[in-house]
Amino acid sequence: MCPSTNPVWIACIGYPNAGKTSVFNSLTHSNFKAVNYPGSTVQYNTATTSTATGITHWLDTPGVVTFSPGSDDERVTHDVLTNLSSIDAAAPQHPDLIVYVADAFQLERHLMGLKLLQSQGYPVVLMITRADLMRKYGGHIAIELLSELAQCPVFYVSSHKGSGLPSIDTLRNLIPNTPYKPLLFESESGWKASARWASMTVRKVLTPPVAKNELDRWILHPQLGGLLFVLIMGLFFFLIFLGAQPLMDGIDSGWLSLTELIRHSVPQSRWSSLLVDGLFANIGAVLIFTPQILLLFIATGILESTGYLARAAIIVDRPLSWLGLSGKSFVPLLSGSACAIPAILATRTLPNKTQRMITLWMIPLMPCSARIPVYGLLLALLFHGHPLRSAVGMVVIYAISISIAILIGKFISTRYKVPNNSFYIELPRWQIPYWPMIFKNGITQTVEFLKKAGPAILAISLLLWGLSQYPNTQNSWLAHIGQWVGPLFAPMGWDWRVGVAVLASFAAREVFVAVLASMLLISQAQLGVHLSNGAAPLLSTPSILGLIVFFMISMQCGSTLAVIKKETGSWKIPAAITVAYVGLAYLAAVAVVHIALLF
Amino acid sequence: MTPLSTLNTHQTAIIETVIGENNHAMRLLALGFTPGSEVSLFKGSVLGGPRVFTVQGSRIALREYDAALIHVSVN
Repeated sequence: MCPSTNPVWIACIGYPNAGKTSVFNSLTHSNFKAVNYPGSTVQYNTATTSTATGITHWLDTPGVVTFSPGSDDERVTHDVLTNLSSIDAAAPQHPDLIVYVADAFQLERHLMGLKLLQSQGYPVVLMITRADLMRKYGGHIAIELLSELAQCPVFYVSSHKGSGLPSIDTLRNLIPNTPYKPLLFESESGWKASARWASMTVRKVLTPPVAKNELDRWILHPQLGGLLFVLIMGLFFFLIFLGAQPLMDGIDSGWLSLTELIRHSVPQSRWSSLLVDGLFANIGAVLIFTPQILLLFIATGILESTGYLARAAIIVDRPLSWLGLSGKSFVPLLSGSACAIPAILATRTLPNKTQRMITLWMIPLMPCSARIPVYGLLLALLFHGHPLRSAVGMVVIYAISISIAILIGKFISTRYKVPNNSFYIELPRWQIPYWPMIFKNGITQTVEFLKKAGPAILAISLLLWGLSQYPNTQNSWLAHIGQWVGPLFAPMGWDWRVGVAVLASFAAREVFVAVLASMLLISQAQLGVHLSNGAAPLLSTPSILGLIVFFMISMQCGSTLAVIKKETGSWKIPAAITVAYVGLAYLAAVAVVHIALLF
Repeated sequence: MTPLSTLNTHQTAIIETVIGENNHAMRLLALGFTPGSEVSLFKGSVLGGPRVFTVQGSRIALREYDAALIHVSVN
């Protein structure tokens, strides 16, 4: 084999939190997420680079503790090592080179894995991360001696900035010229031998850092820890909703001026009403909630990168064990409060099928960002736009949603046999967030959300405008549909226009706001209801409460169902979730409206 | 020899052996609970959940179930 002409395959392997993804990003100049939680790289990332010496295919793998497949993400790493051609047909059976990533602060543990891979015959290059932090805390690693003892090239790199990394061509030149035949067979005795070697080596090469890690004394305090958790999570959501307000007001007035500008610059016609009252109003209705969604993604990124999420997983482990789950389910559930799709993918890190199933059933009930515009509008109607009360209302909605998810989770867990009682998690070091990465990720995820929502809003706007304009505005098809579905929503006291908006929200939840906004404008001509007078006559307080409860429970996201289908392999679970949650949402909404009417 | 789960806060011990079925014992070894290593209980459980141990310079949380599989001798 001649590496200078053939494409070569290099895989990044390492423990959770070793800094693989950062190394991978720096080497390949791509931007993936570097996070602090074990198993965050659930899907393996790949990249291809082309340099003077040829084409290199890169694979980033999920962090693993051992190389035997237990959970689904461990299987990916196992396959990359033993059967790479099953992942990509063009690849050889094993990677040409392993970039083994180890954390300077966890040197002994991480060197065990290095030794184990080497003893199986893999060609390895060692990259030790967080060199800058190690120096800062007075620690030192004798790199030359380590390279000699480990019998492999060693690079000492800084976190995030990537200084100390070799060039791609340097790495390619380290690929052995002779093919190798590794034998991946782990055993207790193999691990024990690696442990002895690592312990001996670390004693020779490491001057340990003098870093005190006092924060955990408070965060993991037996009583105070739980209280701090509630406080941190409460503040987390409260600040997001309150902090977004000024930005939202800015977008609101900006968009309104733009709309008015366009209204006055195009001649009045049926088409200008489509443009201004249809498209512009609908897009604006969702655009205004972008700050909340952006802040939610950024705040999650901060919690993730500081290392708090792993601590939170420990704190909620006991309560989650009541549902047959463990602290490992906390991250999928929390990311479900931003979007169910990455949350469902994150369930791949869970150690067994039972825990995955229970978590999958709970995720669609988490208050995802598509519900934010809906709750935002309904709370504004309920509290007449009072921002502080709305922020408190939002936190209450979140608390109730999570309670519902817990109750459903408990019900689901009684239907499965919970296999074993094991839970372990390593605590990453506390870190100051790397802001550029957090903001970049937050913006990327928000843009993704808007891109996903955009076409649905556009299509629904056009359809509704068409239905409301033909055959004529006095007696439109939309009104006919509305009257036809009216009885379905009569038990909740929802007007036919609200009913149509609820139906449209099954395309995507956030469409509800856009549709309701344009419905009010449409009906303005017909019924003389002015939007500026508020929508109070349209929706009574019990009806608003009913709508909130409906949106808390109902399954209205096609993408979520598609991802669940992909992850579980059949339509059985997604179909059951849809029937159960839509039915339950309807019944709960009727119940809430009727209870509220008693007061 | 006593199970790691009986350790008191800030008490230090040396790991003697890790029991349990092959894969599980291997995972605990790979986490750093290797025979001969020094281990101490950093924090008792929050809300009756997992306990946090310090081993090989890292903090690792274990449930009672896993901590009972690791046998240590207290100095």
